[in-house]
Amino acid sequence: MTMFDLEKAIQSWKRELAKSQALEDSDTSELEAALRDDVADRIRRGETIEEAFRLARSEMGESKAIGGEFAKVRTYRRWGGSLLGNYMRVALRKMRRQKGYSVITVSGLAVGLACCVLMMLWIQDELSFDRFHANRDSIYRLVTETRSETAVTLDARAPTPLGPAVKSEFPEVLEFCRYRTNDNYGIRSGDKAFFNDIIGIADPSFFTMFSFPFLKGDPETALDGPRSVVVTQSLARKLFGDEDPMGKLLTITRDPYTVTGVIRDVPENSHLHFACVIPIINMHEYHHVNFDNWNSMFFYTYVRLEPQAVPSAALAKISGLVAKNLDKSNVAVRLQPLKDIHLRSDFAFDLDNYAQGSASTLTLFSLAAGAILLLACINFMNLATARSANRGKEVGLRKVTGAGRSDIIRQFLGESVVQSLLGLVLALLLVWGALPFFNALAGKDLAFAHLLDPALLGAVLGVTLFAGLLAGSYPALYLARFEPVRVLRGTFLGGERGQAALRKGLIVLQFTLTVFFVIGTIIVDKQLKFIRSRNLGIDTHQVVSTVVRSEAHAEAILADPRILSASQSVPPGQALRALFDISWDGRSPEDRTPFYPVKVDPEYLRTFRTELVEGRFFARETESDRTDAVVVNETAARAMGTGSPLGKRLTVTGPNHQGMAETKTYTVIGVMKDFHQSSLRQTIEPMVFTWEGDQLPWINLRINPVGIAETIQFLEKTWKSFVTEFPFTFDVLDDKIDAFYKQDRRTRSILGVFTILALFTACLGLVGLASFVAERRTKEIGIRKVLGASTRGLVLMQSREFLAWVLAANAVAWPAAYIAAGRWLHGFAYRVRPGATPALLAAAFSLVVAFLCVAYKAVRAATANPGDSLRYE
Amino acid sequence: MSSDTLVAASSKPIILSLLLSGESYGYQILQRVRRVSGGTLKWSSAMLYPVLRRMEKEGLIRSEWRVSEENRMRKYYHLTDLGRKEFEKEKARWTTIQSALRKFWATAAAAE
Repeated sequence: MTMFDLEKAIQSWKRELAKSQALEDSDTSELEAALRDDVADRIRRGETIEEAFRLARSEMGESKAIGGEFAKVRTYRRWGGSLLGNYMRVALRKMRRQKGYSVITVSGLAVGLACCVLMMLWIQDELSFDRFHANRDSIYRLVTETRSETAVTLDARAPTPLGPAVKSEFPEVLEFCRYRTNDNYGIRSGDKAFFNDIIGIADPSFFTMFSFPFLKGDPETALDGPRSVVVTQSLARKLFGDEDPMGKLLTITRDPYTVTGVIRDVPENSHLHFACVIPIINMHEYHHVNFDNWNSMFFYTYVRLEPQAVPSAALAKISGLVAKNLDKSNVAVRLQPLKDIHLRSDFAFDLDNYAQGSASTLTLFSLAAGAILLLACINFMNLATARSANRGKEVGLRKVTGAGRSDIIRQFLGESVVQSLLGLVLALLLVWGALPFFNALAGKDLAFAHLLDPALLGAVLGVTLFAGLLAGSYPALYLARFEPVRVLRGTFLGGERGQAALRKGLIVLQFTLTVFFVIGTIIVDKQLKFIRSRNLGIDTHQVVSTVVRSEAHAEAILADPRILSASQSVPPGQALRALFDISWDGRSPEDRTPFYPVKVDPEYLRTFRTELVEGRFFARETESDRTDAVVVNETAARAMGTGSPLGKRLTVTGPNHQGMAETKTYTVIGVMKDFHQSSLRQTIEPMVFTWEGDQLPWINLRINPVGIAETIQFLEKTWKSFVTEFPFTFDVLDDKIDAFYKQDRRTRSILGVFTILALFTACLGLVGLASFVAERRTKEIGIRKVLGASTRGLVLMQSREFLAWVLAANAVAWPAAYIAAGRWLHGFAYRVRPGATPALLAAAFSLVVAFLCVAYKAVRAATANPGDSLRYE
Repeated sequence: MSSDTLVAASSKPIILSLLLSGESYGYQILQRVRRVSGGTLKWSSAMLYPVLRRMEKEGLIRSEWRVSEENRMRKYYHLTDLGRKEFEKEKARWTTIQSALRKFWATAAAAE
């Protein structure tokens, strides 16, 4: 016989007592003190410890009776006092008493709310893009769409003369502004020189159309002079220190510009980014732009409409103008609202390419965050109703003492709201801690302080209250239905079956969402791997792009054996000028599919390891190739009609060195195998290669993969011996290509994190429910064990049911996940076939994780001493 | 007549009287009531503590957790000024009833 353990007995008595909802902690402590006094007295009188405890306990009375007496005193006070304070007190008391369940519900809610708060911060930031402009509602960008039989080509730019033409023709167009950027002109002032600052090039209306606040100078006139420049505060500080920058000279490329304005730095949430802006007129000189050429697209064109103007009516007029100037072609323009540019742009080349947002990604993540919160609410509902056996007695008692149905509902909803508020406090701590990590992951600069925005704060509180009410709704309605007589008599368990079915349904729902996430993440990952491993048709590994300043400079570089090959050409990933007026024999006059000319040299093929499918490439020894020959890619060949394009005559009108439109006729000598020069999201544009690369400043170097760092050092040293005014810069082309998929990689990482959180929340719920079930079946398990059941058998018995639910969840989730993933993949011009692996992986994964959660509790129940479990209660 | 009701009704004046002589804690109150009444009044914890709560709520008594000489946590109750006044009122009430009852019983005895 074991020794009687008084402490253990008192603790267990206390636990029993604590089940009575009317008792506060101080009550139980006081009763405990009295019980101990009584026990001590009895032992002094000569009774055994065990006997003393037994008598003292029975003297104290049944815990239910004690609770009942306390409840009588408490009731009037409970409803008289502050309602919220009371919910808070009861909820906190309950949580202290049932730590395990509380940890599950509150931490689950905290994780769900933290995801929602993060998403709200993110959405707030994404929606704030370009909203700081006073004319934000009436500014539109003119974008171009070309439909041909084979493809739709989208370009974020518009024909060069379109802006001025619409302003002069249509009174509702108040203003126009053309804009583009360049980041390799170089900026110099005295001995300070910088090469990588973004230089904006715009019409003089730029600063009246867009509201960038001026610190010095006049926005109306700042860009009027052809060699004027408006600089940002930080560029001014970089170049001139603390001196007043106004009127100072700085050199851009080789020309002197006068500072006529200083603006505050461009905010992060702008799709236009620049360190300074120079007038557009200089493009004639630098890029041979002919401002009257309707057949060229080089600039992003913005228009400001009259506030009352109907955009569709204006667009109809503008389209008419385009049709007139481009001869009823298949080219159409669209008006893209300024507010849509950041989130709803899908162009091969765009200003905001690297910080571009995506409305669909944002929707996806918001749904994911909401789903995690839903999972947490389900945990709450499940555990609350599962434990309703205990709470049923409380409800019965409360009803006996005069509480109405609505009082009960209020009490339970109040409790769940209190729990969700607690969850919010935890969630805010989580967000605060996770924000730097999240910013790195999402490439964002969200600040915790943004939460102070009243609208956002309201939204956060709203979501929290909603989650609390949602989580509490079912338990409250369910428990308020209890009939006191039946509950107190202990026969209320009649409704158990339906309730258990609901619990199973909710578990299935949770795992459905989780499996959905897992499949989604796997497919996104697969697609991204597919993109990067797919043969782009061009090899950018170990190719760096830099600038050559002179022939001698180029020769010095090429002399080094580490340079395997070099090509003076436009590197892949650059926004190419689009030309409409390329024609060949038999071209339909309506077909104005834009062609993208690429200036290359004969070494292009070798340097980028592209392939020819037909004909030949430019040859150094054939001097006439410079003027007579052209190579097209497969897409262009297809656009030129059926049959081999070899030998066809191609007439190209483009700007010559003097910026004059020049029409040249070439013979097609070869067809280049299609390659991707931007994102795989886009189809390949029709490209035309001409041997004109020798005039370009860019040189692309394929370098020996051994000792890349030394080679770069060598390039820098060579640069310094030829170029004194600018520091050395270079681009690793692989990085540039990778940047096109940055957003997709972020999607994958964030989706991965959400998946883990969803899984975590679902598992929490499973652990809670499994432990509840194990507790309920303690006796059964004890008896089975006595009768000879093995631990393994018992664990399997307990797990089987849970695993069946998870399987059911898989069956529901698969089609949903595949449909959703299919829609996401649709955004890519080239996509992977998901196959069955993601589904099988998700199934295996969810089953293993679910089994581990359940088995942990089941093993504990199964290995317990049956003697203990049978003595339980 | 149900003695429970009477016991309940008398609990307040008894506790007030008991605490008049100084502070006490729950278990001690139970023991004293039993001893003073010669074992005729046997209060249960379930009865006592809720009454103490109510009296505290009414401002008649006040409580305080302290460590006893045996190093055990105890909640001590003592009378407030309001409690002292209430004691006087209760005393007057019960004395009135008591003397009234005595007179009735004297007449009843004489009538026999």
